[in-house]
Amino acid sequence: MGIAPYIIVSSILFVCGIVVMIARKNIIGILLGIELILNAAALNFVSFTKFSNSNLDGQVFALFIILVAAAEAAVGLAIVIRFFQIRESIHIDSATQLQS
Amino acid sequence: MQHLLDWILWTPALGILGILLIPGKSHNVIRFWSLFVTAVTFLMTILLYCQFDPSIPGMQEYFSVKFPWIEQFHIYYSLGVDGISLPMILLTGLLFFLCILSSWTITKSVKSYFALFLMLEASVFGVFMALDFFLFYVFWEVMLIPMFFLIGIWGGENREYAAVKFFLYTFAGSVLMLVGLIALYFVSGENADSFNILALQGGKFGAMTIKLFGADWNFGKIVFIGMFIGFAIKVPIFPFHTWLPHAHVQAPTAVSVILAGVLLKMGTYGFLRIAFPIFPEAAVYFSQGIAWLGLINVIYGALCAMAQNDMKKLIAYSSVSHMGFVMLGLAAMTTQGVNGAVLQMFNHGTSTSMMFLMVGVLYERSHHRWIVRPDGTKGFGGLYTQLPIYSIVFIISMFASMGLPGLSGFISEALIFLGIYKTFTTITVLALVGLLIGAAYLLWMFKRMFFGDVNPAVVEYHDMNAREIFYMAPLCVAVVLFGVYPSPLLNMMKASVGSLVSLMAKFQ
Amino acid sequence: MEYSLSTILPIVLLPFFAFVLNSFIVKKFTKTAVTISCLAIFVPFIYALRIFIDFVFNKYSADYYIHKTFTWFDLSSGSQIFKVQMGIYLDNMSAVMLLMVTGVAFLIHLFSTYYMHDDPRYGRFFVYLSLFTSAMLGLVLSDNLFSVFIFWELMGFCSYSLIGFYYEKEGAGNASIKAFMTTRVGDVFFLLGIVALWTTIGSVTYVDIYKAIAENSLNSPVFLFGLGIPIATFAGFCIFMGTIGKSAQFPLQVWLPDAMFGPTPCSALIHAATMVAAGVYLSLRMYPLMDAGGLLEAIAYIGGITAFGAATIALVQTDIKAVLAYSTISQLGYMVLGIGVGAYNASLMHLITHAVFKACLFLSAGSVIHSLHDHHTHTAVQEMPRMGGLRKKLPYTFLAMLFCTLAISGVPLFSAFVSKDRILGDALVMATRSSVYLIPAILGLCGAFLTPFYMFRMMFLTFFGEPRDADLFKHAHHETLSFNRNIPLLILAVFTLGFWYSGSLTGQGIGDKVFPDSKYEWFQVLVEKPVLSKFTSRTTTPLDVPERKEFIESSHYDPERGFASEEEEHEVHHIHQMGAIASIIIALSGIFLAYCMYISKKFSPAWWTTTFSRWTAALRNRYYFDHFYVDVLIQKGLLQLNNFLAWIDMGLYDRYAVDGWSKVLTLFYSMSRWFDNIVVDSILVDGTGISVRFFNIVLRTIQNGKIQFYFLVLLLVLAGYVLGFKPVI
Repeated sequence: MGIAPYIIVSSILFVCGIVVMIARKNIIGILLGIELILNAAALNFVSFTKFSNSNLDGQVFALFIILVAAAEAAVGLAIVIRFFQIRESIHIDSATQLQS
Repeated sequence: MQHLLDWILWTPALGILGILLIPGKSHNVIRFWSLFVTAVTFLMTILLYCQFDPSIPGMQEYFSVKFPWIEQFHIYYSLGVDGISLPMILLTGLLFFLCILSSWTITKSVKSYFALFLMLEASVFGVFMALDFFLFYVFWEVMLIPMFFLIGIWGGENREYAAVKFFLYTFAGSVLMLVGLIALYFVSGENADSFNILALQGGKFGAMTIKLFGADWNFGKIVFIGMFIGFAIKVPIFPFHTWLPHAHVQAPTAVSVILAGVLLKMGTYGFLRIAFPIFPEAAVYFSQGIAWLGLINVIYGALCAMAQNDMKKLIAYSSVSHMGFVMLGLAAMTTQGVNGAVLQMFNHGTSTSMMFLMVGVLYERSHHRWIVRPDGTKGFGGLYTQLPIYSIVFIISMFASMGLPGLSGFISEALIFLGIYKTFTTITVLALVGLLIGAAYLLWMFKRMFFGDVNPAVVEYHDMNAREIFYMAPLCVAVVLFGVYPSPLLNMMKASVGSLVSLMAKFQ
Repeated sequence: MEYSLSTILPIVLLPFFAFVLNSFIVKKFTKTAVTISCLAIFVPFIYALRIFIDFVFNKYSADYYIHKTFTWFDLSSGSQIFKVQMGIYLDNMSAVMLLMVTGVAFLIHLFSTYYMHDDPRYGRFFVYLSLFTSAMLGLVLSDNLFSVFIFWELMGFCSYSLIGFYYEKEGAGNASIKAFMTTRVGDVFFLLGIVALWTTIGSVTYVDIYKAIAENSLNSPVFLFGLGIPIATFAGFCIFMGTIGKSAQFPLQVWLPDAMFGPTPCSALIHAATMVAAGVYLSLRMYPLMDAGGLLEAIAYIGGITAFGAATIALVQTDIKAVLAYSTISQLGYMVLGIGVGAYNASLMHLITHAVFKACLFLSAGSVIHSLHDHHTHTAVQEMPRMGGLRKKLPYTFLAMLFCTLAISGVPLFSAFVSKDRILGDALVMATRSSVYLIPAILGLCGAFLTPFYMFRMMFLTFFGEPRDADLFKHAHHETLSFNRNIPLLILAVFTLGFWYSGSLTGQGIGDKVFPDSKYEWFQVLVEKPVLSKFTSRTTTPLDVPERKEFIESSHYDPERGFASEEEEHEVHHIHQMGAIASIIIALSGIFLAYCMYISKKFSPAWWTTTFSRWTAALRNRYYFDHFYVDVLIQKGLLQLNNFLAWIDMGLYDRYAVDGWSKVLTLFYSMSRWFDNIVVDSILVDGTGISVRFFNIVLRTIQNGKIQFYFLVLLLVLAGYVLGFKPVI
């Protein structure tokens, strides 16, 4: 089994993430889309490491990505909550201004 | 005493500070304070006269004041006095003092009136004392500001028009002067003497040329013409004279007095101090033209005066005529002519001031100045019967103005004629016609106002009061004294005038 | 007698100080002021008498003079020298003039205390009188033309004030202006003459002018309007114009008749002692200049025309003062004629004799007028048709006036017979020598016929016959002898006798005692034409140094002088005798004609006036001179010109040429406002805004702040890039 299936999966994941990011109007949905993209990237790292050489760089990067994704989700959710408190909405089009 | 000139110049300015501290409601305090300030100034001018050494031809070193003001451009605060400016300074001191007295009846915003009046005095002194061209120009311009407001606020019914006209007219002249001043600065090398009136004198610019509109011109002549127009507007010389009747008619009495008595002399003083000695070649070159302009002034002013029905306008035109004599004397550039001109400047200052003051005295009673009203009825009539003291003072001022021997105007006019006869014989003959008409319009005015039956409107006028007599008396004395014994004035000026005449003679 | 400050100056200074003092005290202390005035002329009279006696009895020759100078003011500085010197010049002519002026003026002062006593401005009249007299005395004592001019003008001022004395009257105002302005026309020329001489010679003292003429330095031409005129002619003409103005000669005679608007004593002063005499005096002083300038013929013509013309106008006057006024002009014409024909001495003599009898005539007229008071109009009456028969009421006045009338008529034994006939005789002598002088001589003789006629017409109408206004006559007061009314008249009347001045018909008179060796009368010896060559070497003394003794002693009169040859002397005497006989006949026939017309009524004056009605109208209108000057020259000419110029100045020049600038500026500023509003502001400035707005709209649609949109764009761009399109931005 070659590398292609891994790439196809991660591409599907990536495109799903992009589509979610562009199409969804819900900020949380967009955050989820970002998570999908991150995961697609993490899958790519791991699969390329496995098929190219024998070190663990890809796995380590995947771990970092998980970590960053967690942190990002925390921060992003916090912003979304704050945003909701101000605008009473998590609709993305209500966030066109850089002021409250 | 070395700083006497400073004191004379700045005392009125300090007086303004004093006025600012007085509440605007206490009119009498302001009046007495102004009177005090001008009296002190006048006394200081007399002190200056006493300490003046008439034998020195140029500037009196003893009184000179000079220190840098704007060093980057070599502008100095530099004051001085010589025999030509001293009579003017004395005249200024005297007339401002008397004018404060005659302004006693001003009731409209007293505080600002007197403040502006003192400002005017300071600037006039500045013009007569300045030895730095830039300083001269600054004072010349500063003088316009109080004049503008004094005419524009306290004047007659058409005051805004007259004030604006006066301002713009004079300002147009000063602009030409400013151009000349700057041109001189650059031409003379932008050094420490470039604004020094005394150092610029002596015909240093006669041979220089200037490129203008693509052609070469004589620098001296071009700048002389510019300055001539600047000063001519002030004198005023025909055809720059028409602001004068408006300004005189609209101005309040005291301002008319200052305007005719002092400010007109600034123009001729400018010729004597600046235009002639700095550009002697050009002055000699144009002397024929200046003399003809002076002649036109003499005759044209007199003829126009005869047609006037408004007393002030009549006297305004008579000033045009009399200043024409001054220009004739200046154009002659002879000892008699220039001495006569300077003397005439002083004498016209006293006699015309008397005339204007007399009109003011009458105006306070009648509230009009018509000799003959526009509808053809007499404005006055029989004043001689009604106001005997007034009539006598009026006769003195009238005859002084027309140059009756024994009163001051005669000697100066005779000297001027003596001065111009040799160079301009035809002009002398024609100028005498002006002398003839000069008597006619005054006597005719006198006849229409003072002779005949008493006009019913005149009956309730009261004669001159003590204050009015008090401020007319010094002028009467001056007019008679300098008519009988002109030596004090002539001795004062003759050395300075002599040096100017010999400077001019070198270029003839 | 020593001539120093204290013996000469009081003559002019006392009346002047009286003037100064009185002008302050006159209101409160009228009586004191009047007394001061009278004293201040009486004391100079004493001084003048002393000087006169000294000059006459010490027999100074005519060209002896005392000349003292002081510097009035000095303009010298460095190399330019210019001094104005004033001074005193005293010779026989000034001595006799001083005596005449002070004497006549004193009597006029005295008479004025009577005449003006009830006037509300009694005191002020004397203030003017003092100034007037002092000005005249100053003029007589002057050593140079400049100070003559100063006093000359001062007299003009005094005459102005005195003629306008009754300022309630409109006419007084007109008359005073007329007098002042007419004489000023002459004065202006006079000043020009002074200036011309001063610039040429460097001084205007008599002595220096004579010197310059003697040295022939006045021939250089004056260039005037491109014409070259010799300076002597030019200056002489200008100075003679002064005489024409002041002495009321043709064509400037119009002011003198109007001068009677003043109080009568002032008329006496103007007509006799002061004002008009000054003009003739000046011409006498400047005789050498006019001679050098070749002006004598013209002067003779002016004098002849004036003498005759004024006499004709006097024929039809009904106002007693107007008759006298025209007789003054006529007599002044004789004096000027005398100057023109070279009768230097006779001219001065006529000036003196005329001053005496004319003062007396005017004062007598004043006495007549004062006694006639119209109770209806409350005015004094001056019209002769309302008088008549007054000799019974006013015997002393009549006597004085009769003497003067005889004198002015040229009746033998009286003064004008001597003086006027010498002028006419010289005119005849000149006429025989040169036909140019024929017309002036004939005019003079015709005038000599008219003078007795109109003077006796006045006498007959006033004093003889029946009173024509009975009411007026009844109210006229009887004259009593009083010191200030009749005595001055009688004193003056005494001096109208000829023997005071000459002895040509009565033996040598007083002249015999004074000049025993002389072939001539004393007056003829007293004054003669200046001998110019004698003036070239004289010096002056300062004011405070008395005259040098030896100079005085060397200057006595020379009895041996006379004509060039016996034949000439004989011929001249012959003509003079003929002239004297002719003028006696003429005078008597004039008187006889007046007698026939007005006493015996043989001829009716009405016949003349109706037959020659056009001439009479011309005479009544003074040959239309006043009409011409006032209505044509001034009203139509000068005033229209003035109004026109004033209109040009304010209505045209100021309104359009000066204020026109504001129109030009308005045009400029509306143009620049348009440019500014439309081009600069609307298109350029606002256009920038609009373009920004446009881009704003475009950019705003892109820059919508929607993160997904940005992301989409990003993807599209990326996709485009991948697909091979270059990005636009």
